[in-house]
Order: sequence, then structure tokens, then C-alpha cells
Amino acid sequence: MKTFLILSFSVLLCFAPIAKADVLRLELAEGRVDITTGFNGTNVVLFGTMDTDADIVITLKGPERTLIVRKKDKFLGTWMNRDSIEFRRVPSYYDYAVTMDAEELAKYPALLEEGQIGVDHLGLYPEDEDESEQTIDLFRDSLIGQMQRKGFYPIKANTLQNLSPGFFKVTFELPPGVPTGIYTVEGLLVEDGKVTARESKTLQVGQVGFNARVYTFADEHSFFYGIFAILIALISGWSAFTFLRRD
Amino acid sequence: MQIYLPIAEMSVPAESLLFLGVAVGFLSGVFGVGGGFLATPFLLFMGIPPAIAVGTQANQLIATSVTGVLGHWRRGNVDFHLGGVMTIGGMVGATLGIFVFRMLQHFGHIDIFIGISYVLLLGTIGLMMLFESVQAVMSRSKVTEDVQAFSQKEFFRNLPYKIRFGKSRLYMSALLPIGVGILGGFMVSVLGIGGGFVMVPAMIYILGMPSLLVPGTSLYQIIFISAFSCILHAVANGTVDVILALVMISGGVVGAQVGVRLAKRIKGAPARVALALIIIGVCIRMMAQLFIQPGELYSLDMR
Repeated sequence: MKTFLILSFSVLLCFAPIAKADVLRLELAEGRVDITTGFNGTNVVLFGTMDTDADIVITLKGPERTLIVRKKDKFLGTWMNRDSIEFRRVPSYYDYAVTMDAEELAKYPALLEEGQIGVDHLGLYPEDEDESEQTIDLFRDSLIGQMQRKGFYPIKANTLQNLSPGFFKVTFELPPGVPTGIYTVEGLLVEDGKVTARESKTLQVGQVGFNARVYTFADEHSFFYGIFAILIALISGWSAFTFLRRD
Repeated sequence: MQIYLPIAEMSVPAESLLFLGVAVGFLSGVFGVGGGFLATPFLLFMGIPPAIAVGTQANQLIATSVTGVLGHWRRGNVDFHLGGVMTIGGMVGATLGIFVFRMLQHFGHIDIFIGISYVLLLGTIGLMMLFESVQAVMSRSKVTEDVQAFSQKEFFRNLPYKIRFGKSRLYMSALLPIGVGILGGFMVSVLGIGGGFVMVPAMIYILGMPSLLVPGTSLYQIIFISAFSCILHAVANGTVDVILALVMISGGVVGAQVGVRLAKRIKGAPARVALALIIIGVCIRMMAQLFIQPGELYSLDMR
């Protein structure tokens, strides 16, 4: 696998100068992440080449979901959910890597906004328009905080690892409970705060093998899955009685 | 070791699940209770979403009830007729429960509903059991009270659709066992408990069944109700995780064996004191969650 990668990249490198428009190329080490029964998180490794020494921004985004943030308040002595705000199209996973340091990045707010670079610049759209801006901000912050605690959002930017001039590697970490679906990797080549080239790739994160079969069966034939679950329970209950006698 | 649950789509430590299964099985071996009242709260404490915990419990209940009922059936202590009538009510209750569950989940109140229900149920049952068993330990005498069952009271005797249940030697309106069944079905599909500790007193005091037939008949009807509820959860919510259920069941089998052996050595009343204390313990843990200010006021719900 490694030799294959190095080989393919040397081929890539040879062609890079010829393809003038394509100044940024990205390739994932694995096009998919397989979730098996023993899945305990993994790394997504990405290689890239470019023929200038401009800055690079790489983002990795999971499938978009609708999230509801609820806030508990005291009610009749108990703590129960009271206020809630729904956020549409929230990336279920987000991580990014940049070559610039934070100070330099902060100089280009338009770029941060456009490329959705960093958790503060994610386009999180609240459904509820009646709430005050302050409340929405509080809910948004808690959404980000909780996603960070689950390991779905980054605390700070990743760095790019320079393997040789114009050839880099980025590693993103996927935690054990990572959401499944199609992920998008987007690379931006940035010169003076302007995007000069972009490239994107997709990554499939999904269950495989026995797990995947259980999931698809439950999803597509839920009634028979229910029957199947009952049969398993009946058999194990019966065998527990028969083979492990109580007397 | 982490194990990935295909339906819950999350990874959990397999040891904790197995241990929980063993603990639940142990309790059912020693005390003859289903143990759902322990399993569901602990699955919730582990961070498993309520819908998955309850849906999967419905599945696991089938296994524990089958194991339990076979013994009672062998000794001829199951009233199939009465259990069958209760099952009709149970299906109505389970269907009702699924709707209530979905509604509460939609509005984000499922956690508090489960919390309050558990606190009320476990608190009442635990305290009653504690007083009764402590009294029994102190006096060391058999407490036999002759209470008139509700089914024989004037109002209930005049209800229509009277049926004769030969085995239990009862002649009463079918509406009564159906009503008790509805309660049981509702508990299975909303709270993920077979509710033996609610059903057993209800069958003795409301229906007036002979107590010898009660545990077997209660287990018998729970099999059908939880199977029905399991299908409803699988079809309506897609929240039955067979892997989670299997790990819990296998732990349960081991625990039950140890429990049964231990049960022969301990006396009834002190065992009931222990069970009462465990129930009250779970109740207090649930209460803490309701009344103590949580560290994190915000929570995320994925839709």
C-alpha cells in the first residue's frame, strides 16, 4: 500500500507541472472509512501537492444534519428542557488544517467566512427567528462546545505536515462515535487572502460487514428485523432455561 | 474493548454492557424480577439514547421472560386464559405507549418523563417493600392478610363482558384484566420495563388471582407484549439494537446462574430488604438527576 502510494504520488508529481490550471491536488489515502464491530476511531490521511508556495486551507466536513439544542431550566423544582433552538444543515463533523497561524488568518475575515474556516465561522443557521441574537449565540456556542467534547469539532486548527517542497500530508482524527455518511474534503490555495485554486474530494464513512448488514436490514425491512430480533430473544431465553438449569 | 452498536451508531465499552447484563441477570436470579428497572436507567446513565435503551429493553425482556416462564409452566403455574386476555390490553397499551413516546421525544421531554415515572414507581414500590420486609424480618411471622380484591367489589362486579377463568377460579369482567394489561403494555413501550413489580401486586389486589399463579402468568403475557412492542419500536422508530440486546442477554444468562445458586442460601425476607434497598438506590440516583442542577444545561438532539 505504502509503495503504491509513493508510486502514485511520484507519477502525480511528474504531471503536476504540465497541468498548469491544477495547482492544487489532493488525494485521500483511503477513499472510505469502514466501521466494523470493533471500531474505535481512526485517522483520515490526506496527501496533496501544489506547485506554488502559497498558503493552504483544508477542511473536512461530515454530512449535514438538523440539530436541536435544548436548554434545561428549573421548573417545579425539577430540571427540565424548556427553551430549544433548531439549527439546520449543521455539519455532523468538522475539522480543518491550515498553514498560517491564527494571527495571520484573522487578517482575512472574508476568507474565513467564505471557506467556513474554524468553528466560529461555520454556517450554523438557526430556525427560530424570534429569539434574540444573544440567546441564539449562547445556543450556538453550546452546540459547538458539545460537538468539541464529543470530538466532532476541533479545539484548534490542525497543521499540515510538509513531506518535501510542494508535497504535504494532513491527518484528521475521527472519534469512535463518528457520524456516518458522505464527507467532503475541501482544499483552498490562498494568496494574500484570495482563493486562487480549490480542489475537493469525498470520503465515505459507513458500516461494513456484519454491522452494515444489520443496519441495512433494520432500515429496509424493519418489520422482519423486528421478527428476527424477537426470534433471537426467544431462542436465547429458551436455551438459557434448557442448558443452564435452575435446579 | 469498545463495541460498535449498528443501530445506535455509537461505540460503547463492551465490558460495561456485559457487566450490566450480569448484574441484571443476577437480580433476576436472586429475586425473580425482570431487572428492566435496573437495565434501562443504567443504559441511560451510559449515554445510550432513551429511544434505543427502551426499544432494546423491549427485546431483552422477551428473553428473560421466556427463561422465567418455562419454569412456572413446568410446574403448571400459568393461567393461559387470563394471560391471553391481559395480552389484548397489553397490545393496546403498547401502541398507546409508542405514540406517547414519540410525542414526548418530539418535544424533548422524554428524559424527564422517564425520570419522573421511575422515581414515582421505584419510590413507591421500594418503600412499600422495605416496610413490609423489615416488618417480616422483625416479627418473623407469616403475614397473611385477606384483602378483598377490587374485582369482587360492587362496582367492578357490575361491569359487562364477564368471563369465567377456570384456572384462577375467577368470574369477572374481561375489562379488568384488559385494563391491567394496558398498564403493563404502556410501561413496556415507554419505560422499557416489564413492570413485574407493578403487575404482580395489581394481579393479586385488583384481579384477585391466586398468588401462586401470578408470577408465571405475568411473565407469560409480558413475552407477547414485549414482542409486540419490540416490533412497534423497530418499525416506528428503528430503535431496536440486536447487538446491544445480545450482549446484555448473554451477560444476563451468566448472572442469573450465579443469582439462582445464591438464592437458595438466603432467606426470603432479608432478600426482599436487599431488593428494596437496590430499588430505592436507583430511585435516588434518578431523583438526583431531576433535582440537582446539571453541570451542562444544554443538550443536543440529532434529528
